[in-house]
Amino acid sequence: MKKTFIVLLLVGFSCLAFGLSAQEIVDKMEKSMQVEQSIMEYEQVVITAGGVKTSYTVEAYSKNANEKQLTRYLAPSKVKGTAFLMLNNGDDIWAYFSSTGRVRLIAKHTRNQKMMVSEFTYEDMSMRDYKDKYTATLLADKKVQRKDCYQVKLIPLASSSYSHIIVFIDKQDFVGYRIDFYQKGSPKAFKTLLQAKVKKVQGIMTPHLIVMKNHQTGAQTAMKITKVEYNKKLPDSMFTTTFLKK
Amino acid sequence: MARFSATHPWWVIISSLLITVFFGFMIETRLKIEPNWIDLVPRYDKSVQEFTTITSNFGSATPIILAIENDDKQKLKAIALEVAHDLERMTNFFRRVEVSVDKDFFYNHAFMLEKTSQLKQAKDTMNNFDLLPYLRNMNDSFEKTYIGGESDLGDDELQVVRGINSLVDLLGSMNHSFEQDDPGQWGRSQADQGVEDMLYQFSADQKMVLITILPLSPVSDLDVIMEFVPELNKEIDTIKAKYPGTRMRMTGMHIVSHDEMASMEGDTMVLTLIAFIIILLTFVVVFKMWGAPLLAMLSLMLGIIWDLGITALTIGRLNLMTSMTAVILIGLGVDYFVHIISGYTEGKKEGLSTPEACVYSMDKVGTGVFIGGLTTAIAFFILGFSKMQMFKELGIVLGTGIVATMLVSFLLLPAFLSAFLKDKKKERPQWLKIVLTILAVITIIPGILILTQKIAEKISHHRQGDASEVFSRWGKTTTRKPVFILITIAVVSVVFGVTMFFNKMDSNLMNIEDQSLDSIVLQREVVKRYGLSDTALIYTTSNIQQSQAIAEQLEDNKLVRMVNSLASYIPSGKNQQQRLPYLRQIQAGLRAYTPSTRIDPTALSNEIDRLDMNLRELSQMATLGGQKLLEQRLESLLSNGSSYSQSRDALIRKLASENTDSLGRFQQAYGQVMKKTYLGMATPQLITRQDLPASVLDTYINKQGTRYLNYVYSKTDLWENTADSPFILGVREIAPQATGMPVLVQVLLREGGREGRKAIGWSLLAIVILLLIDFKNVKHTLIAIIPLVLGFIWMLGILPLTTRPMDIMMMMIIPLIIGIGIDDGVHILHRYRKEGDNMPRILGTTGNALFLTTFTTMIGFGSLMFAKMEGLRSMGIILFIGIGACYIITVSVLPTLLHLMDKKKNGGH
Repeated sequence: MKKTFIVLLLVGFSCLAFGLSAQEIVDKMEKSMQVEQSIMEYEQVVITAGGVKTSYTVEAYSKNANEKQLTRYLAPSKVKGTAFLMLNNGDDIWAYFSSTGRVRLIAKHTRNQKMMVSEFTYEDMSMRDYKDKYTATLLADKKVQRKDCYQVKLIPLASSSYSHIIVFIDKQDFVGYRIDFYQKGSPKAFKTLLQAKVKKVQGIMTPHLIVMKNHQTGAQTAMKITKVEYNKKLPDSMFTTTFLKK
Repeated sequence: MARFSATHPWWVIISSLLITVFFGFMIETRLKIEPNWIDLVPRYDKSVQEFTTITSNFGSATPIILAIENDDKQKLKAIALEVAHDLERMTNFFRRVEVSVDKDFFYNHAFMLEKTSQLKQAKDTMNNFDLLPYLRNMNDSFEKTYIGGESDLGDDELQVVRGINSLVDLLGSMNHSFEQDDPGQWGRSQADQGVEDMLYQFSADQKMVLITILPLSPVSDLDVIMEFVPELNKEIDTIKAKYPGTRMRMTGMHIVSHDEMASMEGDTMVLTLIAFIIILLTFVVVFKMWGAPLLAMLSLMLGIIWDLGITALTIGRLNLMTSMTAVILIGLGVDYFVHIISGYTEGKKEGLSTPEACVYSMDKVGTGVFIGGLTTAIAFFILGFSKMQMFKELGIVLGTGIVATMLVSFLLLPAFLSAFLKDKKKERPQWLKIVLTILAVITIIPGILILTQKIAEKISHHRQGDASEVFSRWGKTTTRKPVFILITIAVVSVVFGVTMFFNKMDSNLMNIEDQSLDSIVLQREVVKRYGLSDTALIYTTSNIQQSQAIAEQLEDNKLVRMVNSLASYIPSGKNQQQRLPYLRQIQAGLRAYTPSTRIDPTALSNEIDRLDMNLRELSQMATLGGQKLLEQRLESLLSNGSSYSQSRDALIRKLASENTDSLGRFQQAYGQVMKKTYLGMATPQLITRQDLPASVLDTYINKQGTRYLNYVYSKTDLWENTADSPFILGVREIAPQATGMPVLVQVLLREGGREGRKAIGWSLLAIVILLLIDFKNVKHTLIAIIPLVLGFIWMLGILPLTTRPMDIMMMMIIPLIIGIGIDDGVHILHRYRKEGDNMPRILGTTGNALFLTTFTTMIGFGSLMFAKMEGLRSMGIILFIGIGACYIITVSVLPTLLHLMDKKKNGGH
């Protein structure tokens, strides 16, 4: 009996000692997945609310942990060469049209609008600094994709199109396998992001399939990553409007 | 019963014929065919009640859409007006025919109906119609729209397309102004036409215009529909003949119901005939005679007439599911005749006289047939207790049909056999010959019979073995390799148990229709060419404020294309107040504008180039943004050789090389008309009910003035994925009372699924009880049920392999498999209980007959696969697979299990 009591006490102490706060969990998640520079190629499969399916091939470059991003469409031919440049964490967005060769600045208030046909908004694409930009609260643990996950509620500190988001983070590898997005006044998640086929690439946990599903419209966007390379030095000149035209 | 019939055939035949004449009269006078899916929807549901309330208040709330197509837009308008004018005279059928928005109302209040955000933009763009500033303003607006995100392109896709179309038209008019004798007149007419075009419902490519017709009768009133649709078609054909090259088609639930009915009528007759002929051929081939099969089929037809006669007296109609009763009963009812004729031929082989062979047959197979038929009938009758009218009617009609055909097989067939197939050939009396000829003529074309007999003779001449031998050998195999057979069946069942989960549900009601129908093709085309569903959700409110509040909330939903209600004509007081200052600003801008003749060719050329670039960028944005309507329109405009490309190039060339005086005069006249028209449209005056045209009030308010009707249109095809439609979900979150055809489909699917599951459960229970009473043996009862359970799994498991999704018709017909699939097992068990563990003999006799009955039943249902209506094909496919699966399992598992049980009982010997 005495022995059992000591074991229980030790278990209790170890939980206290190793229990992570919500902020720490989010911090670990960010660290586990965030990279300074990346080059990716992916197939973007979009299914609209009407059930129309379209595929695009996209190459994407990012620098300073997504602070600067360049996305260029490689296929279909109708949009080949069209590119978007996001600077200052998505505050400044530029579009380049291959059909006319013009570069246009997209207004700031489009940040919370959908990025083209996808279910991702510009805001989603530039999400980072969770620790500084959100208040984190730890909720009850939950199994997601057969993995034991922490459930963390994040409330944005600045203006956002979301009232809050709930991230499900794997206790082992700290990958955020699911994110539920909520809008003000609604108890149901209106969008869900799923990350799957997570593999280590250059030591970084990388989901190779990312799906964003809009529960209100039934539309969904899947990003199937076909090529990824991290921390290759990307020059600043790549993230300029001049480079957009190249 | 059989003995009496065999010994007193003429009593039975004459009484039966009298009964048949009576039922035939009942069918002719009282039985209606109403293959309308709306009648299948349970009336107890709130959405259905709301729908009924709306139709009782507003007549039909579901419009007919008439689409007119012609390459010439101006001609299209003229034809549309003429058609509308002609149709308006059909006041006994239609409440309202709408070809355009009320001109006076539009010319006085159009801007007040625009969104405040759009007015904010319009105040800068709609103040100068001189070509250079106008095009510059439009270019600025385009760039703001898609680069500035001031308006989501997807929300106003059709609006954006219409804006582009009017600009393209303007470029065309500018180009032609160079060749006009009176460019001023040309400018005025083009401006007038341009504004007037806004009143019509043109498609994105401007080659189609829609006329909305509101019938007086609801879509459930088939009698009226069958009366007015042909008249409507006639009227349209007359107009069409005057305009060669013009296409006119109609859609909407009234038209679909009419076309469905016409298609079903043809299908019913053809399919019944196909099933009848194939089964008769099979009969003749198998039994190597045509007399008995012909009499059996004749008896079966009388049984079906009895069933339909009773249906006429009780229910009074055949619905979408029961309209195929004749085909189903040919497939099911023929089983009893096969068993009886099989026994009869056995008796004849043993040298018995015809009446004795009839009695012999009844003695051998009568109980099996009776119990088998009774279980099927009970399984069907159980459906009669369902809450859903659809299952209720299906259960009663088919249950009665089974009883009627079984009764006829016991009563009439022996009488026919005794009366017409005499043992000793003697000269038949003249009157009998006449009767026989008449019977033969009514039943089938005699030529086919002779041909069949010849084929049968040929086949039997060449046939090496006997079918019964094959089944007998199979019987031996089941006793030699029972474990192998059981393991094989178990493995296959596991595989199908997995594949059954790959079934996909197709809840699109339009997919069960005949896909070649114009109404179905057009329904899909309207969605593509207009970017909105042809079908709307409807709801009522008790005042306009409610309509306004709900409409405002609904318009925020990304899936809503538009809300049509009184609120579309009278925006809320708050919105109107917000818009007033902008209307004043627009008017002020317009008043300050003096149309001029001055043209700056270089600057104008630059703006035309800029417009072209904007269109090209917009096209890429539309591709990336998934705005198909916009993408397709721009693709067609920007393609080489399009009228836009030609006008643009010609205009730029003329601006560079020709005198622009004509264009200047065009500009001035165009500007004058636009100024005047837009000043009226921007009248800064609050719209009240008194301003509304009577036709609008009549459409949206009921006669008592107590209910306000509202329509919500989806951006996508509302029939697609109806079961889980996020649009319906979203609309009903804001307007829980919203109903409409797609909501009724949801109810049908939900309640049909629930009631179907209940029906399967109750039918199974009834069958178990009946078999327990019959067998007085739990093991035998459970064994008899095995083919049913596994057959069900196989049926659902095989379906995905056909790549055909499960649809609403399949879902509704599936409970029938319970009644049908049990039959074979009952026969095997009955024979086993009489013969003991003698599987070669049991399968050699009963197995042979079962093969024939299964084959004929499969043909009966299989003939549905030739139906034009996809839903009927689905019914045919699922039942064809289900019956086949139940048969294979019956002849494999049952003999094996029974043999193993006996072996165990006898200590392994």
